[in-house]
Amino acid sequence: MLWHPWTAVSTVDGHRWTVITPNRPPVPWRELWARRELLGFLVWRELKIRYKQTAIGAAWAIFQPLVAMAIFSVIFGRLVGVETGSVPYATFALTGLILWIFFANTVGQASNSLLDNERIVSKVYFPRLLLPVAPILAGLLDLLIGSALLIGVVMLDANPFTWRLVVAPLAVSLGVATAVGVGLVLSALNVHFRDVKYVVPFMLQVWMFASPVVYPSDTVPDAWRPLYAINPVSSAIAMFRWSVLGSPWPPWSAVGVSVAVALIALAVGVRVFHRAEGTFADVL
Amino acid sequence: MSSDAVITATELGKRYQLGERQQYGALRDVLAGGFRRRSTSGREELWALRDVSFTVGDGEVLGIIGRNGAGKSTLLKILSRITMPTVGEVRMRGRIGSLLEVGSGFHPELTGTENVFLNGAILGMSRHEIRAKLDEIVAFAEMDAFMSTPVKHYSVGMFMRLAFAVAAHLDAEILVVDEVLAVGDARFQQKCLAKMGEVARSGRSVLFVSHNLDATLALCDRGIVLEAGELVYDGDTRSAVDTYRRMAGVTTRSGDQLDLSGLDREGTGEARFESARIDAGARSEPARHGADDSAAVHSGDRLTITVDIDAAEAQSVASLGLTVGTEGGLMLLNLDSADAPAIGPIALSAGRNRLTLTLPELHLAPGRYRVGLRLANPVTTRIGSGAIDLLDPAFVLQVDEAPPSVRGDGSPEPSGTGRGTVATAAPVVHHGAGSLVAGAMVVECH
Repeated sequence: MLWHPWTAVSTVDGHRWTVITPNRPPVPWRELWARRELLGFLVWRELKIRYKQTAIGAAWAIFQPLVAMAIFSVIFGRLVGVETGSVPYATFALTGLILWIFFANTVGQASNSLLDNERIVSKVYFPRLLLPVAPILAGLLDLLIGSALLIGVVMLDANPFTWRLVVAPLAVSLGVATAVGVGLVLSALNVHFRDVKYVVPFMLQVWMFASPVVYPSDTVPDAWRPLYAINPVSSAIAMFRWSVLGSPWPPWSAVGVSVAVALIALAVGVRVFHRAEGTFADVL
Repeated sequence: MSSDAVITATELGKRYQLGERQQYGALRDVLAGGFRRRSTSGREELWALRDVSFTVGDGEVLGIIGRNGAGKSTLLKILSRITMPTVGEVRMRGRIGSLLEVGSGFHPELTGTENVFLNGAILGMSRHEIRAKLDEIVAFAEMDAFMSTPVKHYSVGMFMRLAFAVAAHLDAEILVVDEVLAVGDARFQQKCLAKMGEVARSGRSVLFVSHNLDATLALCDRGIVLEAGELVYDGDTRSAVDTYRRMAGVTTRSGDQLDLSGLDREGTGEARFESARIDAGARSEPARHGADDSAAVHSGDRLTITVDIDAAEAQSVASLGLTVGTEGGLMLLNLDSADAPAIGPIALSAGRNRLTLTLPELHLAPGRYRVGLRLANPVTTRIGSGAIDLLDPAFVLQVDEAPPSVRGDGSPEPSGTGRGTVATAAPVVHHGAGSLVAGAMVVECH
């Protein structure tokens, strides 16, 4: 099957009819599902090209968190003296960095995805939603490689892993949902407003300090936690640390707020993207 | 809606806010403008397509022709669902495959095989489908030896061949095709055309846009002509092409006095072709008089083009050139005064200059030909640096079937009149239509 029609489809006399009208059709879930193989190809392309173009390929996935960990350990661990309980600061920072670097990198790549694929967008039809999603899924491989590093570091600390580890994928899922929602909105905006390209790196820098990457989330006063949790990444990292390092579990109210915000971001992202989709080819 | 129509387009229209197509906004404008930007009042609108209705029957091949900016691309983009119409409706029956550009999904870092899979998936083929057709695609592209080489090491020709091959093997009941013919060398173009013909005859419905009118004539059952976003003709391909040719440029015959001052041109403009007069006659006479069809230009005629050139100031021009080509864009003849040492640089005085270009024998098969004129300093070929004034086409020449009496009488007779004879740059050119073209040009300055 080539693709499901974008717009209203009906089967009359055994034929499939595609009807194109100015009215925006609802989000084409069926079509997205039918083109899942293309999503696979886009993810594969993303990975293949990165590993072909870069000299050290997969090693970047280890190098980036490792260097950031070293720098943060000196500045926040030694000089500032952030208190991280029984866990060494380096391990503590690395745990947060693995998830944060995944989030920041993939949101950045997703927001540029339509501009990077301008030629395809203006010449071929397929559900454009796949374009920003592909780099986010591709980023999961880096996350996995980074996790191998993390496991090594945790074992060096002689810190035992527990059944809590099963929660780690849930924490990652919270991050993925947020990245997809934010990535969709930013990629659509980026087509119409090229300023977005410059805003995103700055926004991510601010966002990092609004997330418990270099400091533990329980330093935030309890009264502020629900507000703090509007940033879903804050709960994602707290949950991730809980599952890997045995750090304190975030308050349930915070988890609830974060999950709700992530789901709303996802829904809003899909809607905003879908609304803007019709004019991409006219503006690009 | 007729029962066997696979595509029915009804009153399609596409409006652009002027500037929207090229420009994206800056966030600042929105912040500063507030809601002002949202209102369309005061912004100019452009209807790229307006009130276009047509149908395509089952298995029919429809050619879409029109000048640049006539709305062809917009129409194809709507039919391909890349952009949405502003008004109107299209109903299409069956699976739709659209090829607006070959190789859009190709990535230079990936190998040939990898790109075939990726591009196929983007075009809508399943992995299974691509695997089944891979050998066929590779064989068609004649690329067996290079499939594991990254595409960045390919020549342009190789890249285009592979890209076309993937696109050509797309299975769909309706195919929307644009511009894919202009790929590869002449031989591969023929192969692409043959493939398109095969597709056209296989019972699929095809919408076909090409600037190659010969290909349109060869492939299409019916043609529609777009002009300024509106459908101006819908009928048989021959008449559609004729309609388009009439709009694209009135054909010129003997005795015509043409005003060239308003044409699109390139060059510095230090000197400009202002007007031209075309005269044709039997080889040995300056012009034919009194005959019934005195305006007709025949193969073998002497063709005289008298041009008026306005020069901003007195100057010496290295090259005065004349090109003759098919309407499809294939150049047949390229004559340049610089190739004849006897002519030398042409001295233009300030103001009006009159020059006569004579082609003692113009051998062309009946048809319409683009004639281009250029002044250049230094010598240049068609386009590029050095053009002072370049008109291509300056006019479209209509050559009619020669009456039997004038035909084939003896060998070419180089004429020595004026200041010199230019041996043609391409004395014998084999042309698709099968004619032989030979010629020499004589330039006279008055």
